[in-house]
Amino acid sequence: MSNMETNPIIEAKNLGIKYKISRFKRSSVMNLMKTVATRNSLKSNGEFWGLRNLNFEVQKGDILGVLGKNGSGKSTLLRTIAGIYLPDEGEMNVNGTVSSMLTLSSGFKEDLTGVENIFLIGVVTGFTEKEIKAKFAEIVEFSELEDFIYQPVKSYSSGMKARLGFSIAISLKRDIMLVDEILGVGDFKFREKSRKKMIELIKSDITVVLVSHNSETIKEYSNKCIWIHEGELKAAGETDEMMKLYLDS
Amino acid sequence: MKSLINQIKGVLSRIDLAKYLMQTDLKVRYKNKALGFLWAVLDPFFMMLIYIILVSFVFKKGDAQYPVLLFSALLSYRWFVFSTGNNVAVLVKNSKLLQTVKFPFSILVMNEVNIGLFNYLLGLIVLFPMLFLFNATFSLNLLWLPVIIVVQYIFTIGFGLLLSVAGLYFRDLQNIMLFLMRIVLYLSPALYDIALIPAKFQHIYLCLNPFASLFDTYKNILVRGLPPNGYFLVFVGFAIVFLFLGTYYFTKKEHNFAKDV
Repeated sequence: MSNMETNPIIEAKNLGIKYKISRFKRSSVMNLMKTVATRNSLKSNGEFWGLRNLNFEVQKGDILGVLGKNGSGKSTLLRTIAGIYLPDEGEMNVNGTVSSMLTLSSGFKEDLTGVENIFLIGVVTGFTEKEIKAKFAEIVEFSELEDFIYQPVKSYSSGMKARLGFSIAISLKRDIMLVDEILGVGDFKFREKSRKKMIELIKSDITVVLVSHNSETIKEYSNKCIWIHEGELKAAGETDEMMKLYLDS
Repeated sequence: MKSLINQIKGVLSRIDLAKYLMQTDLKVRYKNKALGFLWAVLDPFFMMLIYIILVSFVFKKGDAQYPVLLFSALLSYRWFVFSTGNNVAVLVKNSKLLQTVKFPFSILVMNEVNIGLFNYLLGLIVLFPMLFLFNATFSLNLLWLPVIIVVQYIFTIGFGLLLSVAGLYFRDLQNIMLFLMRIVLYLSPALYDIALIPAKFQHIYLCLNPFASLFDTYKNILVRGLPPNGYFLVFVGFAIVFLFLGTYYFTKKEHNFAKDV
């Protein structure tokens, strides 16, 4: 990685995130974690490291692709950048505001209209009413929902929901944008349109962290990559060379 | 103290969010119903009607003012049960949100208390005409009502903060609370008068059960035209202790919620 520039916008130093396995919990999240745990270093006292000894830097304007299998720690990494998890070991320094695309379709309230959901998701992700109003027309236009925007979200098709989610995320953005498997939504025409929008975004000075198990997506958008395997950094570098490594493995 | 100030700052910085969460919840609750928001008033009205029929006509018991005495305490109990019952599960219910966005999570606890308060205030709309009907004594002591409401608000927030964390780590608490809150109702002077408690136990009863003085105070200021008595300070004490314990415990555990949910 080129470390010529000063002050990386995201910097992980020896980062470690630890999960505890408690006897009392039975949620599906726990079951998911357990399957992750079996592949990670499961300790006898019911702890395992979701991420460990992770070191990397992201410069402003970079599009960082995060490669790795399901359960390798990609989502844990995004949550740590978003400030949802605090490091149990090492540091995670983020010098900017973060918006995340993770919320999208799961964040909708089905009984509320598209308009109401735009405002709800906006304020939940930390924007003020005023900021959302300023972006409102842009969101509605990009989503192509037209009059459907005044209908309850439960009447939407999954494609429409995804379009609305993408439009909100692309309009309400911060210095750093976290993207988790959300690209390639909607029909062919909308995919093309959102692809163009993403490329526009990449050319701006926004920093993007992109997670996908689809290596094609990462190849298309990101200039730098890190590869996480079982919670640890396997390799880091320019996308082209990382792609070769990843696909050969 | 420090954690309390930080929590208040956190909530104030996201007041837009608090407002939207409340609006959303109320909309979802009432939107698709023909009578809409009217239900928020009809609901306590029917509840009261049932108790009046049950006690006055079926059991043929209670004095003339029994329905309003009962209702003035029951409205407060209803608020507490609603907010507390929801808060014990609030972190689990919002697990997706906790794992995707960072914000002061205490807003979620506050929201449940706000909605309970909203319903309580609508309940007062039913209560006040009833007070006229049942010849309640109106006096300036009615001015105590906002004070009592604020103290109950603080109590419910503090208790909710404690319970939300406890409910996250001990899921069975959701079921246990259903029974505990029923027991609280029977142990407290809502359905009956405090005079029913033998005189020699009254002092200890009022000191140990915060709801005893709370319900009695509501009855006093709303129906009997009396001011709160000294025992209300017991409830104030409980409210302050819960608020400090709640914010301390919540702040201590807050950064683990997303992982542990």
